[in-house]
Amino acid sequence: MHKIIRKTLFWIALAIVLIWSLFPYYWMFGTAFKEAEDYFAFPPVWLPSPPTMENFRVIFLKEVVNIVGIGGIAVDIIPPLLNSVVVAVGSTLIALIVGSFAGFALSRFKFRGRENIAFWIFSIRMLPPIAIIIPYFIIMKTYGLIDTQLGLIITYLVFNLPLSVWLLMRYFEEIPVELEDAALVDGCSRLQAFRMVLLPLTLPGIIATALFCIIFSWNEYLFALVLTRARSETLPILLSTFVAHKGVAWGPLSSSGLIATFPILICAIIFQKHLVRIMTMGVLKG
Amino acid sequence: MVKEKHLPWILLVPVFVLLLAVTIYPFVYGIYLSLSNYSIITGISFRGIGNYLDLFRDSRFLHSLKVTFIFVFSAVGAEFLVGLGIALLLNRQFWQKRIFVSLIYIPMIMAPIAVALMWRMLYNADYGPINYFLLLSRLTSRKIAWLSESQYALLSLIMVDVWQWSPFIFLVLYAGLQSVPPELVEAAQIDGASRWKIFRYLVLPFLSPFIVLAFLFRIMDAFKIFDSVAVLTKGGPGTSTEVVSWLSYLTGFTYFRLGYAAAMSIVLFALIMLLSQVLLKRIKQQ
Amino acid sequence: MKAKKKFLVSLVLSLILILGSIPVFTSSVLAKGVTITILAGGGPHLLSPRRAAEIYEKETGNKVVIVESPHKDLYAKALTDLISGGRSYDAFQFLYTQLATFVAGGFLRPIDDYIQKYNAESLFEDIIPSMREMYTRWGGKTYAFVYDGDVHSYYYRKDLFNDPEIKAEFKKRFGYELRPPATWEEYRDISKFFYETDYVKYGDSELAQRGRMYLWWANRFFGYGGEWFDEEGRPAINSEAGINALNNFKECIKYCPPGVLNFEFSEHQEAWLTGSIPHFVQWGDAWLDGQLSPASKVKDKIGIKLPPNDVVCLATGWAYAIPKDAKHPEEAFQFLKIMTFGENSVWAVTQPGSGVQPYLRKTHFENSKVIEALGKEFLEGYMQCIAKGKTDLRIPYAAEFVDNLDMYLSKALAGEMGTKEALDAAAKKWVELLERYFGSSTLPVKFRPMLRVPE
Repeated sequence: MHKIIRKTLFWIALAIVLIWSLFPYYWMFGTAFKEAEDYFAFPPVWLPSPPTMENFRVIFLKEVVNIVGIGGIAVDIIPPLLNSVVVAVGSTLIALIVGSFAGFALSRFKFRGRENIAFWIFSIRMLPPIAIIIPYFIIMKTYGLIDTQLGLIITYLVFNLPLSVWLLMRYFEEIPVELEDAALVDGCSRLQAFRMVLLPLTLPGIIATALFCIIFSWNEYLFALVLTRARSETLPILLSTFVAHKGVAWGPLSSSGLIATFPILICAIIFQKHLVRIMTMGVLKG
Repeated sequence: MVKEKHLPWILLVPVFVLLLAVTIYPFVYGIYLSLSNYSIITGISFRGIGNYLDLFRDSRFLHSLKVTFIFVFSAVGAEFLVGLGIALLLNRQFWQKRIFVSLIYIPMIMAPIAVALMWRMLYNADYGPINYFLLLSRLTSRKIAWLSESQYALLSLIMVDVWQWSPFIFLVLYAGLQSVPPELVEAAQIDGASRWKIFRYLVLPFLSPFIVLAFLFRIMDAFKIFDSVAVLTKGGPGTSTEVVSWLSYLTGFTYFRLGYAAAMSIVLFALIMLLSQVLLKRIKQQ
Repeated sequence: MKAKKKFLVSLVLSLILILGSIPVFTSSVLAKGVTITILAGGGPHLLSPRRAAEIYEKETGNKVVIVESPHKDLYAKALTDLISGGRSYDAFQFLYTQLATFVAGGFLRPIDDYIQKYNAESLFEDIIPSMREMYTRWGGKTYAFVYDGDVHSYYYRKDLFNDPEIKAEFKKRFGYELRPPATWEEYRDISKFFYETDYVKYGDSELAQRGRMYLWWANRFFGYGGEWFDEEGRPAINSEAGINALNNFKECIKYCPPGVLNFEFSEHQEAWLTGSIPHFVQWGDAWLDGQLSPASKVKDKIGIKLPPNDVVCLATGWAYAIPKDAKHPEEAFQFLKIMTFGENSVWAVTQPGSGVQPYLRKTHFENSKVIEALGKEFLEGYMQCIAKGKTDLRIPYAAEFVDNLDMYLSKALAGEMGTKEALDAAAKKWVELLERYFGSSTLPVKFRPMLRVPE
């Protein structure tokens, strides 16, 4: 009897937590499928019936749509989508490759200044983007990298690289050195041991690190705002353009928002196990 | 054959080169800017620490520091309580646990700009669902203008941050809870210890390194808040939500006082560094 | 098996990278002929440039690339480009109040020679003189094209104001006839009346969001006789006029829909189009969308008049200019000529949702197509407002002056500061800015004429 009450309370509590976590997303989801007059109906419309695909059609087909009270806007979601993919994948790859070398060096070799270098790399994460945004603009302009995907890929290394080094270093530390030593005894060089023993064993960690880098690159706003124009605009910038001069185009905004968040959602659900593991990283070693 | 002694340094070269180009150089440039005077018409001229001296007498900047501090500590504090609550709640086996856990951390992987836009819909004073629920449940007697009333604007931003980042703390603390040996808990329960006592004297010590880590990461990130201010309040009403990064952006991109804006962001960076040092020391001690 | 998987993964990744970067790469390599790049505000303000681009491309065989930006970022984007060598745009959109800043910074190219060369003199002379001076000229030279002739007007619901029952009730409560207000006190009375009765949902709307709300204060400020600077060039925003204006503004806020302090253009316009308010001060979009937009509930019920005290602010307004170092200035000039004069401008002015208001005497105000679409009543009323308009703040560094004023006004409206306190603080800040930028605590003499509208 006691148990049943407790179980019920648990499920109620869980339900509250879920509603709180998912309600805003559900709202955006609903708005994407609503007719324009329902966006701000009062009392609110909970389930659009019938649901309309208009908002999705508009953003994929690059139509000029006349939004009531706002006027004509034309949106095309494909280029920003492509840009976001290229930038995220590109920056993550570089961060992973360079970061794994650095993480290997920092975790497996005892040398002077090791702790300091590790801390210095980690402290880069404390840098507020706003502190380097103007120098970044000027530097990118000088090298002709404004409004290019390459420019953003390099820029996002500011975050991805330190994170990658730090996380991979921790993951490497978790694997006992003896395994590599066994390979060394068998005649491998250290680099070969690295490639054939350490990397495969830490694959889950590498995937988790990649995930974090991709999430950051995908969601970043400020640098993309300043460093891109029409050609290499990413999804977050596209979302902000819906808050236009004359009003907010809630319909296309919601449908674009769904498209923008969906891929990351899928990745996160698939790789859920790895994300959870990340959280324990580095705690024990500080 | 590569000399073993030199291998770590060679592996670290790519990281150093990239970080130098991508972080150090812009940062140094940013410092140079912060030590200069810049105006649209007269260009750039070296000034020394004058900007910093001006900052400490600038009431608008000091106010932004105050707003930022209030935001960071309220938000992170609330996130901690919520995250801990959810972690404790979910610290048991139940049906389809994995699915529920992945639903709960959806907020934190969404783009902050998308999150802010979603909440803008919810916060709408006249038609938004939040006011609808509040009026329906008679918790308030009028439609609250969440984003345009001074006493609620900052609270609204805090709520958005809590919504998005409590899952992060939840994940960290949840992982921490796994490190508590179940045998000890059972032994204490058999001995008749109350749940509160078990939590306070048994669980908490195991959790504390995780708590400090969660605080460290969240505080570092919360200080940089920008996206939601840009979309929801633009620093208003008045200056009640004018946080440092927003003021720096405004000063740099509307007034074009680039040197002064750079100085503001460097001060922000210094603050973050300081606080992180304090927290990191705590971690090391444990 | 593992090696195969790795190979597949790397293949997929490389394909993604290559395919994804093709559009960006090729768009810069394949462009043939002259391509001009235009920076334009997003959303509705793209309609006119896009149409003009088609016409221009057909006529000249050149290509036009329109770079879109949210309006609030236009200034930042244009300036950051200009200060760092600026060759990204051949023409860009900006607010006329910013012209002084661009010219003083040496970023713009005077276009008087092009006007001669391409016989555009008659076109420029067609621009309403006050707008021509304010939008396109500085220091005796021409630098820009008018894109959108903005002025505020007072719009009201004729059906409500002419209703005998409502009129009787108003007379009963306030002791005078209901009519478009002659003073700001009357404006407030009308707002109060409609807020407290049931004829319409709310009493007023104001664009009170931090950023541009100073314009709604400015109308009142000018109405009470205020000037930006006094005869000695000292900031006069905290004069009696300023205080009265802010107090009146504060009172009217009470009669607006909830959340008014966060109202930007869309919420403000929406209150009007949904028929929830009896009157308000707004740009010409109130008529344009009110009459021509299918969602409007106020069609054929709109009256237009000068705001109280017969004075109004020529509230910001969009223009286009050509950077000094632009790659293709003459082509840009041709394009702007096509877009902002003649047939395309007539189309823009009569197109609901284009965001463009009339600014050409013959081509717009005396054009039968325009008269037919917008109505004589609107055009006459609008002309009157332009004639009695006072300039927005056009001095170098205007953005910073105006934003600080806006901030203090916003604080006063939010109740964080008292009225006099806020205005005094704003005036003090203005003196600080004058000293920092011009080395004097008063406005330099050479800028003072710029704040007066030529006849």
